[in-house]
Amino acid sequence: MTAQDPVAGAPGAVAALPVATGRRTPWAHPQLLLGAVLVGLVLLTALVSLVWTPFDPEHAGAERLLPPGPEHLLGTDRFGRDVLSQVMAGAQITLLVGVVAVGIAAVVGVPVGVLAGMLQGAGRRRPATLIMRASDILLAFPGLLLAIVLGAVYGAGTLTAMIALGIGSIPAFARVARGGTLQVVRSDYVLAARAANRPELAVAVRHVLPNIAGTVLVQCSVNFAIAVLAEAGLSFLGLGTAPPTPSWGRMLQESQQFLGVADHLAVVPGVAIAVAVLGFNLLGDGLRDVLDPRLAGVAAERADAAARAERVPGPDPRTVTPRDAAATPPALEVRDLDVRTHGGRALLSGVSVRVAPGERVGLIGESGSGKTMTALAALGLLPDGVTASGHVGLAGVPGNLLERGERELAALRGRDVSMVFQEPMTALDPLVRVGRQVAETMTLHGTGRAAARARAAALLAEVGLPDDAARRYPHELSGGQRQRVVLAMALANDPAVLVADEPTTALDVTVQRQVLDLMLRLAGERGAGLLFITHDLAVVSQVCERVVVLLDGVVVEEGPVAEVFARPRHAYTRRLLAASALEPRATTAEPAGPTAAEHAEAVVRVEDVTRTYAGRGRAVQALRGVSLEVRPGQRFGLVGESGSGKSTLLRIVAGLDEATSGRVVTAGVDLSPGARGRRGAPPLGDVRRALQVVFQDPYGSLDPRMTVGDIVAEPLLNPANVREGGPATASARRAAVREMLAAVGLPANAADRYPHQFSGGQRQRIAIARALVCRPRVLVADEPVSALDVSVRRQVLDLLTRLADEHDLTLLLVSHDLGVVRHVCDHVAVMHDGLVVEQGPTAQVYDDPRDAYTRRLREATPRLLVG
Amino acid sequence: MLRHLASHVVQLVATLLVATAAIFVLLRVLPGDPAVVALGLDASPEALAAWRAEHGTDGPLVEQYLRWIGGLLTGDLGTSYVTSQELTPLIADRVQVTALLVLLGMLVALVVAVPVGTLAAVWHRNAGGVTLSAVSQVGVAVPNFLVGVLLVAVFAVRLGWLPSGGWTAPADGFGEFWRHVLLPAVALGSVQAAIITRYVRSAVLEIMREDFLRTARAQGLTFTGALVRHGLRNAGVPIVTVVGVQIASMLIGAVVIERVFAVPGLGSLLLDSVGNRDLLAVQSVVAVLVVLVVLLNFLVDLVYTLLDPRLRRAS
Repeated sequence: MTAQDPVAGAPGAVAALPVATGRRTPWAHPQLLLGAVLVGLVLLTALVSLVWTPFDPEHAGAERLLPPGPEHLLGTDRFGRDVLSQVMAGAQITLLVGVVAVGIAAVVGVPVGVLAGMLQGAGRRRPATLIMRASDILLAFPGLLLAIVLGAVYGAGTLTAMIALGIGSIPAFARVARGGTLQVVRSDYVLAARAANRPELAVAVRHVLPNIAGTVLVQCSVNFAIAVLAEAGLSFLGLGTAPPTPSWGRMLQESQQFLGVADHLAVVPGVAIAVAVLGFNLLGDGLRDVLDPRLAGVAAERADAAARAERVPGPDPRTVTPRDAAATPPALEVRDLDVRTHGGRALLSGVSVRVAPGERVGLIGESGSGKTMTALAALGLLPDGVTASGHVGLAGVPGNLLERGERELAALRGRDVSMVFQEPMTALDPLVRVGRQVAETMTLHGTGRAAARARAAALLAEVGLPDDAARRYPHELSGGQRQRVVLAMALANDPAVLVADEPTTALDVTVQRQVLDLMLRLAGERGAGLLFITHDLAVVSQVCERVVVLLDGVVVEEGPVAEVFARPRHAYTRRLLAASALEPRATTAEPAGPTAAEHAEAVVRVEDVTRTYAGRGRAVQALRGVSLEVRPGQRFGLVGESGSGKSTLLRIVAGLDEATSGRVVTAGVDLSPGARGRRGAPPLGDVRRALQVVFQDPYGSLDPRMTVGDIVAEPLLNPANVREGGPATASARRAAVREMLAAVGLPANAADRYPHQFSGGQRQRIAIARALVCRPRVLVADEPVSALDVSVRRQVLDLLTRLADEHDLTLLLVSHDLGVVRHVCDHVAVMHDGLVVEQGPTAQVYDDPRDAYTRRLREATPRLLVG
Repeated sequence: MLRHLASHVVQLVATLLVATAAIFVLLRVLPGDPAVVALGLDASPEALAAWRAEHGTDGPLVEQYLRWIGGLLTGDLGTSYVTSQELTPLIADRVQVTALLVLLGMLVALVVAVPVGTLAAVWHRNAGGVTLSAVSQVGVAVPNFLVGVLLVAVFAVRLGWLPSGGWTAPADGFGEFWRHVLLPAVALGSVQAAIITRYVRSAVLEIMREDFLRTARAQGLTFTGALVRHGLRNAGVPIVTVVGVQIASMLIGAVVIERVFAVPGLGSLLLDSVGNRDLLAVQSVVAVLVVLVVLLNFLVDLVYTLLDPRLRRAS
């Protein structure tokens, strides 16, 4: 039949759904409930009909074509058979066909898809593609057609129908399983499992199958519905279940002759089919909703907010008074702004922000503090499900913007007030050339088409884009270039106020500098007021004149930047400032001669390593001849911007990737290309016992379906990882996990909880505990704090440093942030374009950089200027 | 782009070869010698040999397969073993009927689904949107032949406005053509409308969450304006591919609808041939259907790449 599922069946729309283990009842999901009830009804009917029906469904009676009545509740058919009994018995065939067809499809399709996904995840694209192509050939044979063909050859019947429909659904299951597997395999938690030396089969069983189970279940439900429809269609054609066994499809077909005479004969089986199909479809949709990963995100946000709230004492924020009363009428005024969800949760409470003409005001706070919400409320762009009250005023526009309709607001947006967003990669329409998008901003507000086009080209040149930029599509520009386009759009109509929401957070440091300078210059030339939203205090100190500090939807402090940063009044501001200023690592006076460390054998030695990826069409050189040495006990920092090759190098050193040429020795194991042999013959286990990795994204590196205890214990499950005398039994493992959790500062009961119940910082602690549970000699941390808020960042960095001291670890820290490296490391290597451009003691490289790129990087890195 | 096209064409040819080979094995090889099937077990060896020579079923199977493929390409499908009819003109005639039915059905579906699905997405938080998606959910669950049966019951049997079945080609009278095609096209299209409504809804919902829609609003478009100018075009990319896939599935779904309305299309021919045990006809009709399905899937991939500049360049 033709029913397909809008999401699961759409090409490329396959997703693995990590199960949100949030405590949500099924009652919160009416679809799921209704679906379960309908499916349960069909199931119950089938079961009851096995032992009892009002009449024998196959017994022909004397009273033919009776309408529904007291004796025959749903009437009788042309042979005098009881329709109710037939419908009840028909449920058996329906369920049987569904179960067998879905079973065949799942049993064949899921392993095929998982295999293809794991092969592709392991970089073996060719066999993976071949497997999927083979499975896709079945797409040429829709189940119904296959059933007709098989019926023609082997005779029609229930068995033929079930097998044909099952085979026809194999590709759907294979695709879903492959998509889900790929997503799981590419996640950091699988990388972590690999780094912990778990075999592929264990990865598949422990991580992949549980994480795709939800998606497969959804597919089962959807395909069940398809099978029910198809079986009915086949029976309708006389190619399904043979008479006299009752079947809904054949009942419908037989009813055709009596239309107008006995319509109930068509209606009853029709309703039965619809109920069954509806039930399974609703069940599938409901399951998908329940398994939606977005719900897990909400829980994490709450954990983050709770974590912040716990730690912040301070005066009642409502009593804060501005230190300077602005004399001039403001360009933008937000007064007593409240934003609440429809559920009643307050997102903003009494927020007031003034931006004078030409003034640059910083709005700072951590994630979830309500910075973005404030900006969106000011432009009337609040998302569905929240409402704002209070006052938003704009110079030259009378009245309260919050009381205006969408049409009036739209007329103001882009002309009087405009906005630059955080994520340049998604901020532009991917299908429209950027020149047209910039011009549209002007035509919308009355500029003629030709004039707008000319002005757009001029604007794009003004923001420093190449001449042909106007004709390019967004994907043909880099992130920094796209942000310049957004800036050009925002300034096209010379607005009085520019709102910039973390405009440079997604950009590299050197690009950030350029975009910031450009923004300040252009806004300054136009005399536009700037509301600059950021989490980065250093950027605020360089960009803004005044600052407003937001904590959990409340303004806790505001004033001139120099004053607030020099003498913060609120405890939260003080803490934020303290966390932001990462002082350089206290250097122990280094002796002039070679130290003991330099005599020792290097823990990691990399010589002239290259790595080339075979891209489509052209090869990409990620590493172009890198050499460095990390010695025991060193705190070694690796700094570079995106695309510098630092993550590639890290993966090669950890044995997660292989170099194209050069020599790599980690912990005494030769990982050079060729030395590994065909099947990873050299003892990778030795490397992984000696070296463990902490990944960047604490939200992605923990399997959402495992308890924290299981996550931390996972590396111990491979006996090769456990040192002699280490924890070998289940209870010893539990003790080791408890000890490790305590060491990273988490409560003992954390072991029984799930990752989503922890904040970002806590999750990174869990990841550190997992990395250290095998007592490695080397800890590699890949951007361990770049996904964390400032106040948490420092705690995690200090924890890393402390643990490195206590456990006598060598630390290899990869970061884009020179400040982070300077805070933690005694030695640093700077990478640029696949090369190490400079390395040496951190203090020397930082204070006296020799390489031009290092100088540029250092100058671009925003520093907190405190008065 | 050319490399991409070339790899797609190679894949297309490979799929077609494997699929036709599977049909050949299923319908020509496994059922046994067609000569024996036609003449019976008692037929003399001479009669069997003569029959095989006449129908080209002598020689090695690989050669027969290649000859059959050659016939498919050149439009010579041979004559039916049972009715002795020339298959090529017969099938060509039937393909036209089914194609008209399917295309009109899709038209009906799109005219309903695009506006309704968009509204269901825009109103997804209020009662109107919930109602629309509930109706589409129920619509997906109704088998198209039930819709057909009910349409006949109302418009043909009760009201007598339209014929309950049969067919008139457009060339033989445009008015009569419409009277005959309307009910089957609506029956085929209405269930598709429900299915595509759900796709449109989820595509538009997805787009409504996109950052660039917010950017468009920030530069001065209203929510509706942004949705129309930037949203629908982006949502259109996945919807076009879905339409392609659904046309393929309607080709098969039409088999049942043709039976309900006694429309002489490809599906009726398939079912009649199955009924007559006319395996060469079945083989040919199935091959035509499979080729159409594979070609549609190929076109979907191609159109998808053409619509999205990101894929255009990346490939």
